[in-house]
Amino acid sequence: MSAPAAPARQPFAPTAPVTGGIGESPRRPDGTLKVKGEFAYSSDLWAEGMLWGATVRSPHPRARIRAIETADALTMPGVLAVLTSDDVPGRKTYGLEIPDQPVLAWEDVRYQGEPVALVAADHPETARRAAALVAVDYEVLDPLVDPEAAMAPGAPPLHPKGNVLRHIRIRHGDQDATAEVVVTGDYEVGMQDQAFLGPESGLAVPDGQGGVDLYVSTQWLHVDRDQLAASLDLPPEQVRITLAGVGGAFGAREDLSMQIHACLLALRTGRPVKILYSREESFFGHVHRHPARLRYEHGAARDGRLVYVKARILLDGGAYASSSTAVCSNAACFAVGPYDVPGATIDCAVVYTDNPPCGAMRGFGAVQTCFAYEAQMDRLAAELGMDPVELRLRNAMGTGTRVPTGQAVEGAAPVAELLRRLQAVPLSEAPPAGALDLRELPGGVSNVTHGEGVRRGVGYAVGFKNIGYSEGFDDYSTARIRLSVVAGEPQVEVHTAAAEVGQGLVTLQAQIARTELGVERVVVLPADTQVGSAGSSSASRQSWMTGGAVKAACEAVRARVLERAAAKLGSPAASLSLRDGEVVADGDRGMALADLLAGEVVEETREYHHRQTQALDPETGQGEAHVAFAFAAHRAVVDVDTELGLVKMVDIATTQDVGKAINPQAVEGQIEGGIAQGLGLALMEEIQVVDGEVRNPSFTDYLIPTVLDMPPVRLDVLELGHPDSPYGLRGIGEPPTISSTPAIVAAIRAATGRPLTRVPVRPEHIVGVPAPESRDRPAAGAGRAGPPEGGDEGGDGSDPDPGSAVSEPGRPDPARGFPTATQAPLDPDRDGG
Amino acid sequence: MRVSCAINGEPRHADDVWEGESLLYVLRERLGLPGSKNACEQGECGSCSVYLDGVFVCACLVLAGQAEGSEVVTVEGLAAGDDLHPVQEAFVEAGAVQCGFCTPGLIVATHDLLARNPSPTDPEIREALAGNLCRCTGYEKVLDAVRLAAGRGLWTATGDPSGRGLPSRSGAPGTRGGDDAGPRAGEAGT
Amino acid sequence: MPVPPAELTAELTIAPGDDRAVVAGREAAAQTGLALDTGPTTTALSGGRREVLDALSRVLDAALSAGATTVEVKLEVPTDARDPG
Repeated sequence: MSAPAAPARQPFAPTAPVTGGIGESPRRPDGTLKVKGEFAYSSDLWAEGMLWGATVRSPHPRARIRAIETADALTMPGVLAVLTSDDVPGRKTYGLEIPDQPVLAWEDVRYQGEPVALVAADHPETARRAAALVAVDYEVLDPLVDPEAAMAPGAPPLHPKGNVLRHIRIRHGDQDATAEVVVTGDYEVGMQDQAFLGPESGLAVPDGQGGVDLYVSTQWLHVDRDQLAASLDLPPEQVRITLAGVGGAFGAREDLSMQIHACLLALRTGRPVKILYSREESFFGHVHRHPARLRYEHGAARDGRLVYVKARILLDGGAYASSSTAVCSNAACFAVGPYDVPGATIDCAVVYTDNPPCGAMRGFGAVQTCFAYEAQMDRLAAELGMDPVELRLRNAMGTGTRVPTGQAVEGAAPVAELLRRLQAVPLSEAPPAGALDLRELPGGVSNVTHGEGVRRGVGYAVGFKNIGYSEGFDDYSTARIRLSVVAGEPQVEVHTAAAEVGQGLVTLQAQIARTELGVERVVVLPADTQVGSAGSSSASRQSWMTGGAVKAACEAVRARVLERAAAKLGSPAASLSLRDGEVVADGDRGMALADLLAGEVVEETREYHHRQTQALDPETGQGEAHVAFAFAAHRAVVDVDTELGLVKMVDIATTQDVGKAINPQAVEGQIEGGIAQGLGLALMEEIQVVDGEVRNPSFTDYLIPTVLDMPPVRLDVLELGHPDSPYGLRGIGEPPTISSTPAIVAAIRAATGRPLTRVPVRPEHIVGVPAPESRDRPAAGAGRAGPPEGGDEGGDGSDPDPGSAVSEPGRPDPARGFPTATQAPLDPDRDGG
Repeated sequence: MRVSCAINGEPRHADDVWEGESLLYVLRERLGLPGSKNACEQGECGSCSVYLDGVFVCACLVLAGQAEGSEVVTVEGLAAGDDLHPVQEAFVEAGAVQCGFCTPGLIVATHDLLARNPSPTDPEIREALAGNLCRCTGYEKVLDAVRLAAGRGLWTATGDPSGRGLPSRSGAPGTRGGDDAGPRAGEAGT
Repeated sequence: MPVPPAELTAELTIAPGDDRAVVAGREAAAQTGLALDTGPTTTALSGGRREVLDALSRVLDAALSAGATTVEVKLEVPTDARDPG
């Protein structure tokens, strides 16, 4: 069988010239294609003879499969294949950290939407109809949806290891410290979704020799490739991935979605297969942000100095592990906030439930804890009669402060400076009385207020997070740089596997090459697995890691070129440099680079590793676990219609230290976009899960901010450098999402006096009407404090030993020592379920 | 069925179209025009925005058969060869393009806005673009792009500085290309 | 972002694939706290080298006592993603 023709619309190198170096804001090399509608996203791919794949998904959050009947689907005209788990030739499970997730379920179904079978047909509608004809006989079971119940002794294990996936303990400083002033709080963060616009999609093309080429939107090509090779039972060289255009990611593309599925169908049918999720299917097709229940106790002296922070954090990981163990670690490590606190007692656990699987989303655990600890700081300030910003300044972290895991912060830790600069930004004037523009009021043109009942509030928050991976993981990126002469001019090709997901990485790579080699014409090749791994486009790490790899490979190329030039010019290489396509000797023009190369090619590949980090001690959580940190602060101004609970964002100001802005325009774009996602979590975004079922899988009911929701953003970007990174840059993508949410909620509290302990904030919380679910059932997506009701979900409700979970002989108990939930919430009039 | 219409000024047709296919599907999968995007196919996101007989619509909500005999203009029809339309140029310059998935829809929406209202205020821009979702940019640089394009003062009595003469809407007030539009103050350049 | 990968993974395919031997192997694996469900007739143990090797003998013992006639064991030392070429 001959290989089918290559896809007619496939990704190709963005060749629009990038004209600037480091510190400038050149046009994106893919910008022209994107505005013309000619940029090939994974959902735009097409190949001759292409088939469409569709996925059969479980409607039940928990079930056992008794039988799967595929005959009716197979005999439908236009259907070429129907596959089940039996047809997975290699490993039948996959996973980022733990391979616990079935490619196709064979017995246990653990979440609503779990893939059970696949169909390939010649038209997407045929594929959909055939998928509906696949008859799956389910034994429907009661889902375990309460994370507290999932940890309770006697809970049915959803996985062989039990339900507690990880429990991080941090014990820092004096564990018996007391304080004059103590404030406590219970907080909740709902399940946010990344809601990227480009649907999950890709095209798998069999090569006719048993292997496959996959064109797909993803965040880490090589980890996809390795999981594919394992499940397809192919050597890695026979699975080649090329990055197709990505329509946003934000963490949701780290886990596999349709990759193995499309390749299975392509290899079975011998034809290219495209899978494209609908928006509804997309809500079931990727992981979400972990819902969290957080209980905090802050102890401080009368003068405001923090003495200790105690936190109990429970994350609902849903059906499969994804990156939950790392999210748990991040939440724990950043549970206290950017403050200098002598004592910390943190217990953070993530559990399996039959809820939708949760994993990476921008902020990665630090979002949930920032909401809680910033609310606590405001409570403490109120208790002390102190200005909230003053309290934060008094406790602000600085260079050398030890985080609760014991590591001292290196380089700038400008927490106090960020807050002072924010305070200095003048507040916008309230509109003059009588000037009525409905569009400036809460509710907008719905005409629900003319200003009556509207109160303005201002709130501040500051947060931080690590940049890059942690706990001893040897993270790296690879770059291949090729310098040659094309049509008489020097040209640089940059080849990495780094996923451009919109952030501007492709522009940055070209800027670095231009700066390091002084060559105008730089081409960034499509990202694929023909070069070494670049790691994931996540953890705010790519500018640092792939930037570092590109820089290192360019330096290697430059060294070879200058050595050759030194021989030719008779000057020491140390006195030579590359600029504007020329070899320059002590500032004077030496010779043209094109002449020096004389038709030869200079190519170098380099791997860039960051310095080593350590694992966290399992008992104390101490360890030098992180590469670097990044800090941001936000101030939000809101107008609230206190009668209807509607919020109008007036403006947001932010200060953020980015180390070095390689591309200032792209930096601003990332900050503004991150704030929008923080705003979404504060005001409107939540996957509503009831009994394991998603109630709002559409943009009609999962609301993301529109241009009417976003206020003007006032940016103050600091470049304080970093001792350890390429060009002194820090990662920038996540901090804007972290402290924007608590700043907005703080502003609403200031306007209304409501405690607002849950995000997203709903109108009924602002107005003070208890929502129905607070009376009847657990809040959506997360458990509730208190023992589960009589025996319905495995717990028997009468725990004889409140101290710790009972362990069975021989089975290690990760929940050991995790504080149990108490009977009553700490705040009797706490709002929102 | 066969669907015949004019796309970006050229007569096109698609055969074997299933009756349930949307105009968006036919554009993307049958006519080689994937510029209009499929972020939701439910009319919620605006990524599929096109002109249908001069009216700004979501192509995902138009059945292919409804477009029979119509004139359709997509994002692919706005540039003149290699020269970007001023709206497209402004989006790239202002940094309004990150992943770019929302970009075609926003460009058509902006094109429509400026043709109707060449000097929109910020609240007017926001209202006009409220039907287009973007997840990457936070909209700040999108607003910059619209202001940049508007500020170049290129919109003339014919409404479209590219000179492509999009079909006018009949009967609608403020129709561009009509007598009531009048000459615009300030030609090219700001 | 990910935790350091497990030092060793042992994947066991138990035959005959009828209930008794597989279930016995699965239960023994579950007791060790290292188990992963990786397929209809397989179970996997994942963790530190010493603990996986210790657990392996217990699981094999249980499967054999329950009538397993063949157990295929595949030991893998996980490596990070590297391009082979």
